[in-house]
Amino acid sequence: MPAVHDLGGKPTPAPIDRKAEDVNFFARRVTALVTMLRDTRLRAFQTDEFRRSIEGLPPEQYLSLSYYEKWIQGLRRLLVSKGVLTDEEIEARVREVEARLAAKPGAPKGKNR
Amino acid sequence: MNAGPELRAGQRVRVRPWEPKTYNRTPAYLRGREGTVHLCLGKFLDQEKQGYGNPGLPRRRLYQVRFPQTALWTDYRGPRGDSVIVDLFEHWLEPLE
Repeated sequence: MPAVHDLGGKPTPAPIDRKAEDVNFFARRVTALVTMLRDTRLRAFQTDEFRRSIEGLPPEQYLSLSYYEKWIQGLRRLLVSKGVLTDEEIEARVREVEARLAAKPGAPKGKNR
Repeated sequence: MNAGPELRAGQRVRVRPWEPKTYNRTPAYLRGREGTVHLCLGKFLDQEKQGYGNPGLPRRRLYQVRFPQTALWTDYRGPRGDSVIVDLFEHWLEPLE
């Protein structure tokens, strides 16, 4: 039974959407984060570790997230597994940012958590 | 696994029908399929090891292998001569001649 990411040859319920992913601000930030951690002096991980982390996301998450959402969740999973960050640290930081945004009228709501 | 001598262009090969649970980049749809060596790309760091944070040594030969589309997909509707070329590491390939 192929893993969830190994889609070649599997039937699809609808024609494949060949439109390019929307490279919005979120996508740019995620790309910057991955590039900074992987390719600068930091060298926190290698490309194939990152791919393995993304491909190991829970199947329902893998199939429902957008391309860059998979990147950020795969990055989170990888950094936690390597001991760079803990889930508690990430959750605490997210609550902090959410509280700051909530205090600011008209600010965007954190969607891509 | 010892890889043996370099495969030559035109040589028939079968992709090993392995289903490892470990990280690899060999697509499921090619496992057990027969193709023809198109080109040896040289030796590259082993991604199956790099996936686990390992440096990926020793390097392994990486091949481009050609598969006729009509052999892969029984309902293929494109031109009969169509093929797909896929990069595959040497340890996945079993020489047939």
